[in-house]
Amino acid sequence: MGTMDLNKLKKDAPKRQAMRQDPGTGKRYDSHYHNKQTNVSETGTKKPVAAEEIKPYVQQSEQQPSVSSSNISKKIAETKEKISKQNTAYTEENEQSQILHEEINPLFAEEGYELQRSKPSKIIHRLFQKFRASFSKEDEDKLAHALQRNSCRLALYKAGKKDEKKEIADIVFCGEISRPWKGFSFEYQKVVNYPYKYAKTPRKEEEYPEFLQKSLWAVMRQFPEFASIEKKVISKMAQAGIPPEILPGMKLVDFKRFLFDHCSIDAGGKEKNISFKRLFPQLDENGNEKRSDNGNILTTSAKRAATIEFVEKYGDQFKALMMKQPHARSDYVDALIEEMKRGNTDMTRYLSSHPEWKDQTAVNLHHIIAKKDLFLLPRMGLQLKDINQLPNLCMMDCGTVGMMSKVLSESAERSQSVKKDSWIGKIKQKLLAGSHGEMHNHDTTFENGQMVRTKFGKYVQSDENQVIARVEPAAGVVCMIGFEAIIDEDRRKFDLEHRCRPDLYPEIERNNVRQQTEYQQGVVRQ
Amino acid sequence: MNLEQFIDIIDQNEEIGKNDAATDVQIGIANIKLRKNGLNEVPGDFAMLLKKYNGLSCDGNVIFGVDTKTMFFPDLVEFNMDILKNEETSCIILGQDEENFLIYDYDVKKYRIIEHGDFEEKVKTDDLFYAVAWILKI
Repeated sequence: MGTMDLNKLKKDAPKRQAMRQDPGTGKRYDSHYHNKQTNVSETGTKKPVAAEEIKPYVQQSEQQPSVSSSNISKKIAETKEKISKQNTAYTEENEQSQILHEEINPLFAEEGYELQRSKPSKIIHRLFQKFRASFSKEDEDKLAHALQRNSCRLALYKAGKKDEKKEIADIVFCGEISRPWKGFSFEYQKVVNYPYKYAKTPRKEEEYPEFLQKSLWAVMRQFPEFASIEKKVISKMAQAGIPPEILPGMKLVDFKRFLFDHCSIDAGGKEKNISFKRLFPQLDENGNEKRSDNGNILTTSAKRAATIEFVEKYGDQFKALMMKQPHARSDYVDALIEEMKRGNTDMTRYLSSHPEWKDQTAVNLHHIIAKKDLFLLPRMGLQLKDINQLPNLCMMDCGTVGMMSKVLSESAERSQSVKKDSWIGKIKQKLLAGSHGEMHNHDTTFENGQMVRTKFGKYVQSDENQVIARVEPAAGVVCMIGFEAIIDEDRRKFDLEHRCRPDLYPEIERNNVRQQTEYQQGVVRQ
Repeated sequence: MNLEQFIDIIDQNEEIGKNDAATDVQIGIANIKLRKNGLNEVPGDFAMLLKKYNGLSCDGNVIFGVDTKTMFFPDLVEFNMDILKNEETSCIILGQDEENFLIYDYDVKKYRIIEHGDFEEKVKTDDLFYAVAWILKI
């Protein structure tokens, strides 16, 4: 009996040697029946079999009618029925696994188990490249699906032209203004050239409101920050002797120069600014400027206000999310939250005294609809000022993904947010780390069904025939750190009602056939 | 403004995050990596700035460093390799704020600040420190 068993073992040995072990799951499989060849997906269910694969058998049977043709026809019919059943049983879950499987396995094959850094992630990057090349609905859906799994969405907008409103939104968001030196209107150039001549003849404040309403100020004051300094603006204009009649003809650069010269806030004893000055004071309930203990005027901006609002609403969830990140330190997270209560997210000033914080997660507040796309807001039923309000902002991790990926790949085992022995979990950990902070920069321009690629650094004004494809946070997402998100249901309803409406999608021609684009051909538009 | 004057202003501004100085070796290795990948090297005066501060940051607006080993001060080499690897360009990206890049354009030999999406030019200057201050909003 022992000999018989040994013989059996020997007989089976070659087959067992052929068995390979999946490095991720540890499962054994016969290399001849590797997933790729036998249509078995990662979850073990069968993929649909393409009709082409059974074609040779059909052709063979048709060529040999004399050989038991009824049996062969019966077999073909049974096979076809089986394939049909497999196809209908191909569930969405399988498709998800399919996408991951198709994308991940090649990566392992190419790079072994040493996953390289990704920016944002190899899977999404690869899917995005495919979409860029084809602009097809099929590739768009795959990309959208992959993004959806990571709290993002793919949005397509018709391009629009930037105008002065964008720069006004910039000033409001950062709360600072730079001093322009040229490009003034004819009338205001005289004020710039001869300020003392005009200041000798101050005007009355009541002369200004009527003319301000007819000027660019009517747009600027739609932002609450500018509206809060309107009295100061009128007062300073009157003191400077600026003729009210020239207001309707004043350009934004004129207003910027006036605001910088007359309304900017002296930092008072602090550093001497080089280019920028702060514009918006913090006001108390009586509308008076708040001051610090040493008498300096405290300043604000839309970004600071939104940061404070964010931490008030989501501070606890944010802390929990930050503490899930590998190597997270509670002292850093606590200090960050305290800093955010003052309106600041940048912790770099503390790194010299806390070098142990250098591997922690940096965060920043980013726009969802970009300021340059202000023109989209009316379409979404929103106002100009909403561009800088918290519902249009998302707190994200930032910085280069490369370092983050290295940190995470070393500590993947200690992650609290994925199952340790989950192969997909480990892949997700390594490939998606830090991806969110970079995803929103993935704007791509299409025209006539092809990606437009301009030479880096060469300005090309956007064309209304162009379509912008963009990665945005999904509806309801208020914060994305690592590969997790904080989702607010109220915000979700708001987003579904405004930003994420399907009717905002432009009607565009799509390519259903993949064709080599200019990008692939290396064509660069000058 | 010269480097010393600029350093004075930076030192007095407690809101600016400053990374420790880079060494000649770090800058040299960075330039080698850039060249090997068909990219432009770090301009000379920017290298001098790196030897004082290997990365600057203010309210999320950053000037890149080399071999920084922290996401707080992004790595210039990695960033340029990611953005410019398929580009034939005379530029090197040295920093960014929410919407703009600070670049050095070897074709015109000037520092330029250009917007991310359409590369609209905001600033063109010989003065590195003016350009850095613009990006940092100081």
